[in-house]
Amino acid sequence: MSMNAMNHDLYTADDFLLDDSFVAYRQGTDPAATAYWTEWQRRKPGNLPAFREAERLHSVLSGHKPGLEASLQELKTLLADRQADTAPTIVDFQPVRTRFQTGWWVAAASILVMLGLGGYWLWQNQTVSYQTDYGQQKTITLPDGSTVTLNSHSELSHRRHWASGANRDVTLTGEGFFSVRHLEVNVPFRVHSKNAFTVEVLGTEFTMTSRSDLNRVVLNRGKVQVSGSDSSPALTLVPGQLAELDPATGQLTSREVSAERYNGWLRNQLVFDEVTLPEAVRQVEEQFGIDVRFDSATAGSRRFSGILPLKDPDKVLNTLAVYHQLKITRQGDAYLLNR
Amino acid sequence: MPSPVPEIPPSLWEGLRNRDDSSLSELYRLTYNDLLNFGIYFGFSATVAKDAINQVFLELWERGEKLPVVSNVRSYLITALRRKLLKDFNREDRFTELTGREPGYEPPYEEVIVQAQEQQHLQQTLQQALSQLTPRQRQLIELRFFRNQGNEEIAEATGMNINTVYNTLSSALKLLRQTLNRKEKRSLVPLWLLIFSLLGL
Repeated sequence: MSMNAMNHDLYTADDFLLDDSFVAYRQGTDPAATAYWTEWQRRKPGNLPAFREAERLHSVLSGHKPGLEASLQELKTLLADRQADTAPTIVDFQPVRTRFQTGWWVAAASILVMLGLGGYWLWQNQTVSYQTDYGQQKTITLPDGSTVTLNSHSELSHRRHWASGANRDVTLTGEGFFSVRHLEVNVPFRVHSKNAFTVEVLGTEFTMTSRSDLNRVVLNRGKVQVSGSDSSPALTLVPGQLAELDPATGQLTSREVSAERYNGWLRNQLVFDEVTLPEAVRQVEEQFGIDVRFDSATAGSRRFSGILPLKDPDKVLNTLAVYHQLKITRQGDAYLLNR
Repeated sequence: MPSPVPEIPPSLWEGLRNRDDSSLSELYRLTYNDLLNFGIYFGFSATVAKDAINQVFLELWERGEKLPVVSNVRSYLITALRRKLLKDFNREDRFTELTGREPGYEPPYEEVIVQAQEQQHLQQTLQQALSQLTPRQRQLIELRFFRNQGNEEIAEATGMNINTVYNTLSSALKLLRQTLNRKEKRSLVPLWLLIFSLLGL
């Protein structure tokens, strides 16, 4: 049926679903159909509700497939990111220079500021913070439209008001997946951590971890430059690379990884990537907030990889035990792994 | 239900090995829906399947001339996607990954499409709605909305008259919408009652 043969303004939901050009528009397989139906909607015809109903039903019956051309565009963007010769964004691994310490200092400083400059300024500069408990995740939309998904037992804070053109600063403890919006004006986005480094980006996607002695960035999209302490040379990261700060030497290293593995928790996966048993156990402890003990003699240095469902610690520990031929027992609140 | 698989010209694979941009796009367009369906049948959501497909194509592109010469491009892509899904997107226990699904078993469309709904209430309603259809109606709904076939293609594939295709689909859609909408409206009634009673106060 040709696009102009029928009066689409009189279509019912079923008429739309029986029209090949409507279905082609939904599948994103025909640019002409996409252009036609996009323009048609812009005119706000009276039967737009029927059109929406047809769209909903199509989505359900097709299994919510993303449109072809949109997905192809996404692939092209991924390819362009990898090949981009544009100036890299800056990731700066440096000790924190947060302007606000949390806790009592904020309160004390706030009172002084309030006395001096008044409540409005204070309100704008208040630190807002978000926390997750063990086993909890939370997605936060920041004032610039960027989003952060916090993993278990993590905290993110930032100033309430972000003036346009001013730097975007947030502080992370724990682990988060960042999807940073690239603004028209190149305004840096900085993630500070309490003890180790600062990540500075313009618009990109990455997973950052900042737990006691684990400081790491894994890049999913975009391009970043990583600079460590003065003694460590700068690195350029492309998507699929990981940069890590060695807690002992303060040196920065990078390697190729599978970036999706590091945000597996977004999809309820606990991902082990070439880790030893002690490292895996630490990951489990951080994720679930439990105490796992093991005889260091049994640990060994064998490295393994795997993906486990992020459901309950018992299942994860059982699988780890079976894999390493260990027994697992419960000791009060703690778990014990031994031969 | 065997679906007609679009023919993949060998020149497209050759083009991909030479990093030809239009060959990449063409190959993607020809295989996208087929690969998505495979991902969905394999138990993943369409979004996850799409992400994995893009990763597969990204890696193929980067390997360029290092790619092997392949005679069956479709099965090569399916294998690559399967591996990618298991390796990087798997929600199941990786150590027992192969125990879950038996190869070769294809669940029926209605089972797959119900599983693909993320909202639980929609899963139940859709299951009920689909169960009211005749096997013929279900087959045509699958061909049209899941296998992406046009009305005339369906007529050709099933040997049905084009008008019969229209009428069968039309009555199927009517039934589906009735069941799906009835559920929606019923759940809205208490809300309206609540609003009216609040206005009354």
